[in-house]
Amino acid sequence: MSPLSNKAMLRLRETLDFPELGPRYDVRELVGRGGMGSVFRVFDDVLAREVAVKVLSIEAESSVAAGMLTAEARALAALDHAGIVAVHDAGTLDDGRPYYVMRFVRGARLGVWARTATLRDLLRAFTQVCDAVASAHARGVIHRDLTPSNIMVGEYGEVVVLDWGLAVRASEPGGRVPAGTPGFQAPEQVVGEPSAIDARTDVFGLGAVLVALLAGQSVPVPRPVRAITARATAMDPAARYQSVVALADDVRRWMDAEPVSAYREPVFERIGRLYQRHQVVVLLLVAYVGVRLLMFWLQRR
Amino acid sequence: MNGQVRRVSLFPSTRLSLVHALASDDAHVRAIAFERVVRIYRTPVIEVVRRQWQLEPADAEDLAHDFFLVALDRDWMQRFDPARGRFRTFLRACVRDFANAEHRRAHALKRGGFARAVPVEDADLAAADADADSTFDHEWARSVLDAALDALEAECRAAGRERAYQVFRAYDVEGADLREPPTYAALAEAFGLPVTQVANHLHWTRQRFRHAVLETLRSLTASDAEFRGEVRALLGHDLP
Repeated sequence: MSPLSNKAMLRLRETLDFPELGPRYDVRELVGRGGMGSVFRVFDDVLAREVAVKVLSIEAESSVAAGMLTAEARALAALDHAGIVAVHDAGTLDDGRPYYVMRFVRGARLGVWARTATLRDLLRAFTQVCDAVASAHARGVIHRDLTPSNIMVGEYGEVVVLDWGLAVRASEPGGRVPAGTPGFQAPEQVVGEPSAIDARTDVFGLGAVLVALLAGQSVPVPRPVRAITARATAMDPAARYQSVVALADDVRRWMDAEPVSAYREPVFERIGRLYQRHQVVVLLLVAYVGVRLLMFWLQRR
Repeated sequence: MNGQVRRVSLFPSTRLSLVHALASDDAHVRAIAFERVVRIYRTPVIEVVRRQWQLEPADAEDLAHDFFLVALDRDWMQRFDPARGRFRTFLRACVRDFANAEHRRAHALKRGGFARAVPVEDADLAAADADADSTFDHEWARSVLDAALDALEAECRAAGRERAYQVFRAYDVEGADLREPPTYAALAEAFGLPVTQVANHLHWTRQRFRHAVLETLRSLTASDAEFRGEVRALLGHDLP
């Protein structure tokens, strides 16, 4: 028999992690792998649709990791929001690994999508992310691992926040363990201080996500937007926006050409903003005055 | 999940480690263990010396053969200390030292295929070594998977489930080389089975294949930590 090809090796390696879900689910391919779980694209034969299945990775096996995956499934099930991936089912495989079935989101990771997005489209998507995270906060859940690669932009521009594996209840912030992704962790996460974890930790994460997204913009980032990111990523939680809703509101205010709370604008910038906001009225006014002046001049002749 | 997390029991833990058996006082046990280690590591050793020294395939096979003979004769494997690292890393270091010494000897005598091997310049030594390490790890993974496939085939034959093995190979081995992997429905038609039976065959064989891989890795490691490290490596997480 000929030696295994590299492609066959890859396939067999994936097979080691493949969840055996019975005849209903046809496991198609591995689509992602994290520290704790692997995510597969699966075809649901009963409902004739594609779903995603997250299962505990074979090498991550431990009762702690299994408990975390189960907790993640339950947390997601409790967070009923269009911007948070929906869980359809959960269970335990014959080999003992827990899994859950969720919506399969087609689209691109936010970081990839943002490379070709305009500033306004990017900020609009960002406010949708904020809405989803704020919805979780309203139910007492802190994500703790917000990064551009943990957020998907779907085929229709909808935004879905994924990877809630590190999420904790604000009332039960967990042990003294540093959590999150370097570059997107709030200082209180780096230190691993559980009592300091609250909604402002996600405010920092969202601010760091916005900084990363803006870095790919070809146009200069407006100063008010830079001020928003600076306030969101302040080292001291007390100096940040105190909620994700406040952060999203400031972004929306800038998009509507209104003053933002994070930025004290000079007079000339205020004039420019007011012009931008009331552009049609100003132009009509200028045209009206111009016509009146012209008529006045003609009468004088 | 019903509020309970079932105890995860993926990993076989009862099989005797070949690495421990290599250090047995019983010469017969040592010989059997050595033979099994050679079975897994023969191809990685051949490939790594062939690549590092740009040898002809036949010369690389001869050198690998000599390596294992000398290793057996001088009880090299018994020197492995699990506290100092993985068995795979130890074996790779043994191969490197042996090949270097053999090259110097063959070059001095101007004899044999190895004497004609292209010497690696000092400046390229680190890169060549890293490249050889990568080859060794890759071929090791291939050997482990191959051995597990053989074990699965034997198990299927013993259980009278040859058809299950054929479905598994068609889907997860040969199917991987196709532009479009076969669907369950296509396999069902090809083997004259209901689709549910294809799913059942794959379900069973994958479980047994997973078990065979883990058994193989367990046998090639000396501790639980080393075993878990090798599982990660096999899945491609630690390999370059």
